[in-house]
Amino acid sequence: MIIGLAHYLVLAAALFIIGLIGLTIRKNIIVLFMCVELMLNSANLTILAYARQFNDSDFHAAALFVMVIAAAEAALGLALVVAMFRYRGTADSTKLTLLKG
Amino acid sequence: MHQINMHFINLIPLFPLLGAIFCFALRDKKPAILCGITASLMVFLSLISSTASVFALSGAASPAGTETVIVSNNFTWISAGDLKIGCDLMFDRLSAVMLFVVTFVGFLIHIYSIGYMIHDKDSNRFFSYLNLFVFFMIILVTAKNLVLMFVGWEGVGLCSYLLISFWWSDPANAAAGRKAFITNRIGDFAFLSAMFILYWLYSAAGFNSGLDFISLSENFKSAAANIFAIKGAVAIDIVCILLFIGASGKSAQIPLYVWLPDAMAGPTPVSALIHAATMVTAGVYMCVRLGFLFAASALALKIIAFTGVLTAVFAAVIAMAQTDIKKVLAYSTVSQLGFMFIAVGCGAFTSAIFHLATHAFFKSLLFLGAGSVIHSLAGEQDIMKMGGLRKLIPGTFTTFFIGVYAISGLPLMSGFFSKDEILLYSFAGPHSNAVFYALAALASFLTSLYMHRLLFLVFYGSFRGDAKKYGHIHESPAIMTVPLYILAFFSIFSGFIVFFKSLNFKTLLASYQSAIAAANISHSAEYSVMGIALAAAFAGLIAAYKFYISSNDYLSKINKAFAAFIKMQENKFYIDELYDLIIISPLKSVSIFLHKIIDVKFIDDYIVGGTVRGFKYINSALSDAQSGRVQGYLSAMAAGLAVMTVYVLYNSIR
Repeated sequence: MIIGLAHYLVLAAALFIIGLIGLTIRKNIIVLFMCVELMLNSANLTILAYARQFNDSDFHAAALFVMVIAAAEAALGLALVVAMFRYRGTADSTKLTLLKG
Repeated sequence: MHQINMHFINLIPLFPLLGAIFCFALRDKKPAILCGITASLMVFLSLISSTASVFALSGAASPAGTETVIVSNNFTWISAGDLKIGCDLMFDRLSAVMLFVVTFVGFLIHIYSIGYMIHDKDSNRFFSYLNLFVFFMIILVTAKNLVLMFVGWEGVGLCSYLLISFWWSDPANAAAGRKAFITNRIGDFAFLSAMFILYWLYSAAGFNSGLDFISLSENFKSAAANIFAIKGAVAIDIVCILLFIGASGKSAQIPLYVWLPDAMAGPTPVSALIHAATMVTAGVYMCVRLGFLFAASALALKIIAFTGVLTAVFAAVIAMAQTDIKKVLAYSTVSQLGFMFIAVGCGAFTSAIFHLATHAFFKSLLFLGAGSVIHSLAGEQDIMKMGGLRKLIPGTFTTFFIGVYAISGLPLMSGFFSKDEILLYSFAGPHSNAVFYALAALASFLTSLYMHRLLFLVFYGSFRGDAKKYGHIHESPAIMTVPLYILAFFSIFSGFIVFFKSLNFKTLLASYQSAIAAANISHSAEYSVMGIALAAAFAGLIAAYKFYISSNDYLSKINKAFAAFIKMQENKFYIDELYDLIIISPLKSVSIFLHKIIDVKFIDDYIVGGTVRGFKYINSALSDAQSGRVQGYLSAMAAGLAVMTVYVLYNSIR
């Protein structure tokens, strides 16, 4: 079986939807953070799939950039989570409703 | 009609207006005498200006056969399309008579009021209202068009209201003021409707009149021909009947007379000036001013005469059983106004104005005399507690005596001449009717009877009141008795004006009278009517003497025989109760229904409250949506995205 563009795209979509569902139903902020990473990576996978399909090395570079930024973002995001946990004493997203109308 | 322009006549209403403003500005200040004098002076200046206008009017040369009228076209007051209504005054012979009555009687009553009201803490306010009343009354009688006349008409109504409820801290007085005001609204509504219809009719006939009396009457013949052709004769009838309903509100005729007896709640000079001499005669004046119109409607004249005759008899019957001195005079006023309307209805406009003028003198004399009696008895108004005052207050007695004789129509007093003319015209005038004549003669008899009853009960016999009060009875001060003497003089002699050919009273209102075909009245008819009138007056005098002075047997026998009738009579035939039952109570229940069901329940609760509740509901739904939970927003966003995706995909596949 030849693995083609469609397979990559389906995998990426599946990852994206898993991430999205996780993001909406889970409560722990760390898990939510991981779900966001999953969705980011599904997007990255889509970029790479198209980059190979069209033989365009610019998008390989773009994917690399995304990974670098994701790493930085993960460091920052985790730091925020830790700070929030310290300040609010909880990592439950349903308890963090300061903007309630 | 020959018109002369003279702005001088604007001064006549100006003075009392200034006086009213002045007194109102000083209403909380002392000394009270200042306002009394100023107010009287202002009315006196008005009297002088109107007298000067009379000389200007009689001195003006006018082409033969036309009537001269002084006009003052001041400015356009209302301008809408073709309709132009000016704030213009006019002064003709009819206005002259009315103005003389208003300013002269008004002046005497102002003087009298200084004595009567000076101890009242609100006397400055009183004089302010009184002057304002004179101002509006002058506007009413000098207005050149119907609309400006209506301003005066409403203005005097306002002043009447203010003065009836002058001592407003007593709820009964305030209620009397309200009653007068509201009853008059019914008449005013009819008056307004008549004005609208009249303007419409003239416009339809091709005349843009601006409701100006002069152009209305000058164009009437040609307009009437068109109106009859377009709208039919009934149009004029409707206008005249509506105008008469307006007049019957102001002039207290059946069925709208009920407010006048209650209006006696005001101070006595007010009763004399407004509710006897001037304002209540405004309806008669209006009918005469528009005489050319009424002359064209035989139906309206018949209704007017019928109402007048009914009112004259009915009010006289009630007056006989009243025990309040002012109530007797109030019903007497209603009855005498009925006489004036008999004259109007029989087409004798001059006689109506003649009786209006003489009535103004003797009725204000009687009211002021009654005020003087009340003053001497320290506020007592019940004639059953008076009696034998003849010797104690001789000045008041003499003048009151003259007033009673004048109103009864005893020989050579003013009332004799004016009432005789009315009886004559109802017997042999252009619109005469035997029934009207018979009832008018009956009313004349009743007038003499109840007036002598009043005279005998108050001044003859022995004092029936509190013995302690007897010693305190004193004659009123000169400031009150001198106006009485002057009015008594006019009550005696104003009737003789018919003999002065140079004053031309018979043709005073020639232009109004000419609308009615001149009646040929034989001398024999004249003398027989006069004889019957005299017989009626003397019969009243003798009956009253028998009942109230010589022996009380007749009276008690009659009282026994007609006990049920007299009970009804004493209670004014339950007319107030009847009105309460058929008009006021249903109106009240409708108002309560409207208030409780329509207003509170439906409008307040459902419409206003419902809107509030609806917005509250939407508000809470929207504010619940903003939960502050990021995941909730995300779900909504994902769902929206999913819908959009499906939509785009669906479209691209198709």
